[in-house]
Amino acid sequence: MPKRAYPDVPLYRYPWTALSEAAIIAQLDRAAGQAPACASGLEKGLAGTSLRIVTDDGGPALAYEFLSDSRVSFAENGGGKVEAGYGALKLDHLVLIAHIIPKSLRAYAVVIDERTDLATVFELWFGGQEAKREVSRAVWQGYRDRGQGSAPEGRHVATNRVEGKALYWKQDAGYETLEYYPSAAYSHFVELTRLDGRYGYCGPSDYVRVDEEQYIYTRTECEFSGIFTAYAMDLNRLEQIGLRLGFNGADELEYYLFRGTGEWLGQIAQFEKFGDVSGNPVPAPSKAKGDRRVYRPVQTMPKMTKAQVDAAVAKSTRIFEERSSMAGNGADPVGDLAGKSFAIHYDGGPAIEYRFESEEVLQWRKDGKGGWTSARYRAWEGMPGVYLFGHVLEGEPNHDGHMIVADLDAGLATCFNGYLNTPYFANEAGARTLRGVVKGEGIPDPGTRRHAFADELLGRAFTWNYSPGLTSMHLYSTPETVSWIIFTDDGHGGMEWSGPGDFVKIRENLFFVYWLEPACNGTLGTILINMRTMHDMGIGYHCDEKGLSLGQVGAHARHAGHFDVQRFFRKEA
Amino acid sequence: MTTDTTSHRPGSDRRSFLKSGALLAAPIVAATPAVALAGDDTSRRLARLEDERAIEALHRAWLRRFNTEGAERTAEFFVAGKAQAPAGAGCSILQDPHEDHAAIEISDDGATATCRYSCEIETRSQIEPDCTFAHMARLQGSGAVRRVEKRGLVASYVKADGAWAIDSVKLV
Repeated sequence: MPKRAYPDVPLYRYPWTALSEAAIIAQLDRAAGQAPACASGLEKGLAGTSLRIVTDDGGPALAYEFLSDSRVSFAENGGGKVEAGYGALKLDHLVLIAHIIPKSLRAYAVVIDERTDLATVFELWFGGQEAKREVSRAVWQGYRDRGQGSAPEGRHVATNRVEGKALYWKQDAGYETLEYYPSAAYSHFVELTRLDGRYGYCGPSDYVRVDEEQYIYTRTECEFSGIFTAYAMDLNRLEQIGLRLGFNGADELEYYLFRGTGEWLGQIAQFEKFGDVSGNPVPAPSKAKGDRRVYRPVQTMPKMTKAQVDAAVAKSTRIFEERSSMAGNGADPVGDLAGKSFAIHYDGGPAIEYRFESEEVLQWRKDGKGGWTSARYRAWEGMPGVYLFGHVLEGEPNHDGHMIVADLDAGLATCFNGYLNTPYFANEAGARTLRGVVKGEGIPDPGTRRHAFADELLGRAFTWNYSPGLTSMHLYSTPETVSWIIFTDDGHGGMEWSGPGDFVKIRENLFFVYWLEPACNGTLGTILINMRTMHDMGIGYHCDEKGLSLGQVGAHARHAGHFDVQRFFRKEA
Repeated sequence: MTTDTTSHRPGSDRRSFLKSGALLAAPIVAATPAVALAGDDTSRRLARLEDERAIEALHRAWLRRFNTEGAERTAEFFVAGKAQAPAGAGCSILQDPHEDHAAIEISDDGATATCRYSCEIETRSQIEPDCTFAHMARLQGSGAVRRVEKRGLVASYVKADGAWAIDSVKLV
C-alpha cells in the first residue's frame, strides 16, 4: 500500500510504519534547528528577552534566552546551553512556546499566563512507547520565575471543566475538525479535511484549567499515527493556539504551530457529583514519568483465522443462553410472535420467510428455496406492534446473524445483518443494513416507504446503565460513528473508543442503531432505542474462541444532550 | 453520622475494653450501678436503657469495622474472639437509614440479647472479561457490577463481666 499522509482507510486499518528511534531522531534533528512552521505567522517580540520556568514535583527547570524571533538558547535543569529553533504564539494573555531539543528525541511546549506567571509545561518525547513513533508527554505545573524569590500562588490544574463540550475548529492552514470532549481523560475527533469525515477517532487527552474561559487540551493519536496535538483555547473568543508534533501516515514529521477559530457545538451533561471539578480521573498504571492508561484494543482482541472461526462456531453457538450483566436492566422477552408467520423482503434481497413456532424457536427459509431451518430466537416489543428479534442463519458460510426490527403495523422491517469471515480478522463482525417490507396476513403494504436514516440521533449522547455500577455513554458523532465512553466510579467520563455504526428511524422517538468494534473486540452491537421510555433493547453478535453468541443487551438511558453538528454532514434518508 | 459512644467515655479508650479477646461494650454508666440510683422499677428500666445503648454502640462499631476492614478484622467484637462473616467477601452491609431504633430484646436476667436489623447487602462482582466494556472499565480501575439486596440481620449478644459482646450475626 502506498504511504499516504492521511489514509483513505480507517485509521485502525492503516499499516503505520514501525519507525526506529534512528529514523525519528534524523527527522527531528533536521527540524530542531528551525522555527516550527505556522501558516498565519509566528509571534514576534521575544527576541532579546529571557525566561525561566520552574515546575513542581520534580519537573524540569527551563531557562530560555531568546536570541531572535526564531532562535533560542535553552538550558534544562541548570545544564549546558543548547541553541535551537523555536516558535511562539499568543492568545490574549497566554503565550505558547515550542521547540525541539537538538540531537534528541525530545521537545517542549510551554504555555505561560502573562497575567499570573503560571505555566503549564509539556515535556515531550518519542520512543518511550511500544510504538516509538507515538509521542509521550509529561505534564508539569509551575510558574515563570522572575528572580524575586517567591513563587506565585496557585497553579493551572487538571480539570473536568471541558468535559461535555464540543467545538468545530478551523486552523490557519485550513484543517477543519470536530472535536468532542465527552470525557475528562479522552477525546473524540473527526477530521473533516485531513480525512473524509466519515468516522471519528479517540485518543487519550489532557485537560488543564487556566481560568474559567481558557483551557489547555492535548491529544495523542495512540494506536494510530502517534501524533501529538496541544492547544490553548479560549471558550468565549472561540480561538485556539497550538502545536502539532509527530509523524503522519507518510512518515513525514509534522512540526508546526497553528492558530484556529472555532464554532460552538454545544454542551452535554456531566455526571460527577455537583462540585466535583477534578481532572485526571483515570489513575496512571505507574509513577513513571508521563505514564497513563491508554486503551490499546487490538492487543486484547482475540484474532482468529477463517478456519478457527468455522471450528469455533461449529463447536459452540450460544443463542440467548444466560443474561449477562450487560442486560441487567434489559427488558423481558415477549412471546407475541409465537404462532405468527410472515416474510421479510429486503430491497436487493434476500427474502426470508418466518414461521414462529414458540416464543423461543422459529423456522426460516431464504428466498423460497430449500427446506425450513429451525433457530432459537428471542423477541422484544419496542413499541406496540414493533418487535426486535434476532437469530443466527445456520448453514450460511459466514455465520450470519439477523437482528431485525419489524413494524407489523406499518409493514416495514430493517435488519442489521452481522457476518463473520471479514478480511482483517475472521472473528471480527461486519454488518450491513437491509431495509425491506413485511408481508403477511393482516400486515399493511407500505408501498415504497422504508425506514430511513435517523438524522435526529446525529450529535446526541445517551448514557446506558446496564447493571448497577455499569454505565457507559454513547456519542453519535458522525452519521457513521458511534463512540462509547466508560464512566469512572465517581462519574467522570473515562476511557473512550469508537467504531462504525448506522442509525435507522423506526417510528417517532424509536431508533434502531448498530455499532461495530473493529480492531477492538469484533462485536456487533444492535440496540432499539425508545426515547420515550428511555430504555433500549438489544442484541450483541460476537465470535471468539468460545464460539458464536447472540446475547441480550439492555439498559436504562439518560439523554445526556445534543451537539449541533448536522450542518457538517449530509446523508440521504 | 453515627458515633461510637464506647470510645468517647471520659478517662477510657478503646484499649480499655479489650477483654478475653473480645471488644466488649459496657453500659454507659456501668461504673455506678444503676440499681443504686433509684428504686427497683426505675433502676431496671434505667439498666435496660443502658444495655440497649451499649448494644447499639457495639453494633455500630462492629458494622463500621466490617465494612471498612472486612469480616476478618472483627474478631475482637465477638465473645469467643473469633470473627464471623454473615456476608461474603466483597460485600458491604448497609444499615437501613430509615430505621431509628431496632428492637433489642434483652433476656429477663439481662445476660443475653437479640436484635433484628433491617439492612441492605451490597455485593460487587467483576463483569465478564470478554466484552469491550469490561476491558475498558478494568483499565480505569472499575468494572464491578454492584448489586444491592434488602435483607435482615439477626445478632445475638451476651453480657459477661458487665460488658456486651456479639455471640453471633446472621443474615436472614
